[in-house]
Amino acid sequence: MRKSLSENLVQAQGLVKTFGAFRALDGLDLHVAEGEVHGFLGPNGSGKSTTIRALLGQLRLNEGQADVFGLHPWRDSVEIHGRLAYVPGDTSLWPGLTGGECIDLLGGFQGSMDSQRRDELVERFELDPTKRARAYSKGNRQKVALVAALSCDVELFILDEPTSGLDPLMESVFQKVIAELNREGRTVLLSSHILAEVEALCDRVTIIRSGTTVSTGTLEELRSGTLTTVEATTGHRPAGLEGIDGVTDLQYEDHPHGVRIRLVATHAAMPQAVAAVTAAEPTDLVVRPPSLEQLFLEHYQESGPGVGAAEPAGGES
Amino acid sequence: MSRISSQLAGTLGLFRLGLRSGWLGVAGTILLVAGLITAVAISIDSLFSNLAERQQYEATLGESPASQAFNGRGYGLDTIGGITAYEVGFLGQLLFPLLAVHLALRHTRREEEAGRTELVTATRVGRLGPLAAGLLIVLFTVTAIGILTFAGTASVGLPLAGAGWYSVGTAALMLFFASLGLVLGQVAQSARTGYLAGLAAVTAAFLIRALIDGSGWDAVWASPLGWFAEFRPFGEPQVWPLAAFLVSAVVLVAGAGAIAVRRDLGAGILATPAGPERGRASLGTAMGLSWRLNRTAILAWSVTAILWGGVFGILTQEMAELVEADPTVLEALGVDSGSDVVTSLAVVVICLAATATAVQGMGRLISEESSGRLGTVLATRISRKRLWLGWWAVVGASAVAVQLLGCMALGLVSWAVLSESAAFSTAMEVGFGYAVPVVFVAAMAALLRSIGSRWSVLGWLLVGWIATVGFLAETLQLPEWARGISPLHLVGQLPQDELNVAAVLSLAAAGGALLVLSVGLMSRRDLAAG
Repeated sequence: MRKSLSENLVQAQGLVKTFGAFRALDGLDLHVAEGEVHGFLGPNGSGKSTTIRALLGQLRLNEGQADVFGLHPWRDSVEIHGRLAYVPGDTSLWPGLTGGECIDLLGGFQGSMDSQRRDELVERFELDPTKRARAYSKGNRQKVALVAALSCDVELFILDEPTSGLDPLMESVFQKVIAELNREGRTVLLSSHILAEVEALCDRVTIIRSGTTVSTGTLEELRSGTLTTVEATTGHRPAGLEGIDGVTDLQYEDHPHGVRIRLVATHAAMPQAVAAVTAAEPTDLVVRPPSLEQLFLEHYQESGPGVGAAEPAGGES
Repeated sequence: MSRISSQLAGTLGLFRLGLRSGWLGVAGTILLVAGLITAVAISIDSLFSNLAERQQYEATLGESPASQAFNGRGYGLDTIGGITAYEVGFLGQLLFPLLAVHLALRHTRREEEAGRTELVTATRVGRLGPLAAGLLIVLFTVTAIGILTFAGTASVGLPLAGAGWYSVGTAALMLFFASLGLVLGQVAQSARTGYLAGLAAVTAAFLIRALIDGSGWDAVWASPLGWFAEFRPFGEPQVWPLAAFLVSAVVLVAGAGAIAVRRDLGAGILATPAGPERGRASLGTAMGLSWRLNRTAILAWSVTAILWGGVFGILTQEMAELVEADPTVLEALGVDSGSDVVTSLAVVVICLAATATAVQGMGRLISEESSGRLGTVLATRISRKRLWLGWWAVVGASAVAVQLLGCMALGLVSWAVLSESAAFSTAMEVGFGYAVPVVFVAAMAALLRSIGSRWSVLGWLLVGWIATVGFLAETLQLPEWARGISPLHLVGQLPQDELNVAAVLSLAAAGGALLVLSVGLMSRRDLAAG
C-alpha cells in the first residue's frame, strides 16, 4: 500500500527520541505521499508535536531514519524549510508587534510569501492586522500563524493542530483553503483532534499512541478492518447467513411483519451478508459502519498494533 | 469599610503564594543588600583603622566633587561608619532602588502578564488582593534587609545608633522605590515597560543628585537619592528624610491602589494604539528582527549612557577647580589631571550600560525560544547560524555604539566646560580602549545563552562584577585574580594606565573563539520549544 520512495515527501522510519528516561518517540513511522492531505492523529502527549519538531530539525533524533523531500531534517533543515510552511499548535507572537507585522516577519524569513494571497487570506479569515499581538485572543493568534503559512508558495504544509481556538465559521474557511491548496497539488501534513476536519480533508491518516504508530491508511482502509452492524426487517428468515465467514452475533426476533435481524459483519463478509438479507425482501435495512469517533477511541485507548488496522504499522506493501 | 475588606480578600493567601514562588528572588535581594553593606563595612574597618588615615580620606576623597557626585554627600567621614556609607554610595544608590523596583514588578505586573493573576482572582480574591500581597512582600523584604543590615554592621563594630539609622535609611530608601515599582506595575501593561520606566526614574534621580552634590548646590531635597545621605547616620542623624520617604511611599501606594480598583485586569492605563498593517521587509531578516525586538532597550541604554557622560562631563570643571586650588590632590589620587578622575569613573558606568545592552540583547532570546517563537522563525528558510550571528551582530554593534555615544557625550561636554580639546580625545581613547572588552562580554553572553537559558544569568553576574571591580576593588581589597575576571580591568584602568595592547588582542581572540563556540553549540542542540 505504501507508495514508492520518490513519491513520499515525508519518510520517517523507526523514529526514537528520548528526553532523559522518557521515550517521547518509540519507533514511530510516518509516510506522507506527494499531493495528499495526511491526517496525523493521537491522544495528547503521544508524540505528534515531537515528531513534527524532529521533521523540522528542531530536535535531534536518537534513532531512526527521517527525510523530508529526500533531505536530512537536521543537516539540510534550511533547504527543507524553504519548501514548506509550518503552523504551530499554540502560537506565540511578538507582543509588541501588530498581527500584520508578525505575518510579514514570518513571510520575510520564509521568503516565498505571495503578498496578494496574504491580503486575500487576511480578508477571508477576518483578521484585523493593525492590532497588537498581545491583544489577540488565542483564535486570532492562530489566524495570524495560518495566514503567514498558507500564503507561502510552498510544496508542503505542516500544520500542528492549526485550528485550535478557531470558531466554526473560521474552521470552515480553513477547510476550504486547505481543499483549494490540495487541488493545486500541494501536500499537507495535518495533526488534529477535530475528527470532522480530518474526515473532510484527509486522504490518508496515521494514528499514533505512546510514540509508536498504531495504524496508517485511508479512512476506508481503517474502517475495513473493523466490524459493521447490519439491521433489517425482512418478510422471512434469510437463508445462509449462518454459513458466511465473518458474520457474528446473529440475532433474530419475531416481528408483526416478519423477522427482525441484527448481525455484525467484517468488511470482507459485507457483500455476501447484505446480499443474503436483500434476498429475503427487507422492508428496511440499516448498515452502520463504526463512526470515526468509535474508530479513534478504539485506537487511542488500548488496542495494540494491528488490531482493527488496515495495515500493520510500518509494514512493507 | 466592608467594601475595602472585600477587595482585600485573599491577600494573605497571595502573600504566602508569592513568597513560595518567588522566595529565591526575595532571599537574594535581602542577602545582596545586607551582604554588600556588611562586606564594605568589614573592609573599611581593616583599611582605615586609625584616625589619621580617616582624616586624610576625609580631606581628599571626601572633598572631591567627583567622589561626591558618585557617592553622594559624606557625613562623619572621620568614622568607619561614615566612610562605609560613602563607599556603598554609588553602587548602593543604583542597585538598591533597582532591586526594589524589580521586586515590586516581579510580584505584581509579571504575575498578571503571565495570566496567573487572572486565575487566582477568579477565586475568592478581591480586586486589591494582588497589589496588597505585593506590598506585603515588599514590606517583608525591606524589614528583613533593615534587620540583617543592622546585625551585620553592628557586628563589625559600628556604633549601634549609627548602624540603626543607616539600616532604617536603607530600608526606607528601598520601600520608597518599591512603592514606585508598585505604581509602575499598575500603569504599564507589560513588566518590561515597567522595568524600563523604573530604570529611567532611578537614573534620573541619580543624575539629578549627582549634579547637585557634584556642584555643591544647596538642593538635597530635589532627589530621593539625595534624601538617603541626609539621614547622616554617622554624623548628626536627621529624621526628616525618614518622614519624606514614608510619606511619599504612602502616597505612591495609595495611588497604585486607586488605579488598581479602577482599571481592567490585564490592562494598564496606557492604551496601546493600533499599529501598522504591514511589516517592513527588513523585519524578515535576522538583523532586522534583532533590531526590532531590541531597539527599545538599546535606545534606553543609549540615552542612559549619554546622560551619564553629559552630567559627568559637567563635573570635570568642579574637579579641575579643586586641583587648581590644591595640586596635592592629584598625587593623593594618583592621576595626571582632575578630569581624568571623572573620566575613569564615568567610563565604568558607560561600560556598564554597554555590557548591559549586550547581556540583555542576548537574554531576549530566552523568551523567544521558550515561547516557541524562535522555533517558528527557524521553521522558515533561515539557518540557525545566520539567525544567531545576525542577532549577535546587532547586539554587539549596539553595545559598542552605546559605549562610544556615552564617551562622546562625556568628551564633548568636558571639552565645552574646560575648553580643552584634550578632554575630548582622552574620553574617546578610553571609549575605544574599552570597546574590545565590551565586545568580549557580548561574546560571553552569546556563549552562555547558547548553552541554555539558565546560564544567561551568569552574564548579569559578569556585569555586576565589572561594576564591583570598577568601584569597590580597593575598598573590598579584592585579590588580583578576582579583579581579572572583569575584562575591563585586564586592559588597564583607563585613562590613568597605558592601554594593555596584548590584553586587548587576547580578549579579541578569546571573544572570537567564544562566539564560534556559541554558534557550534546553538546549531547542535535541541530547541526548548517550538
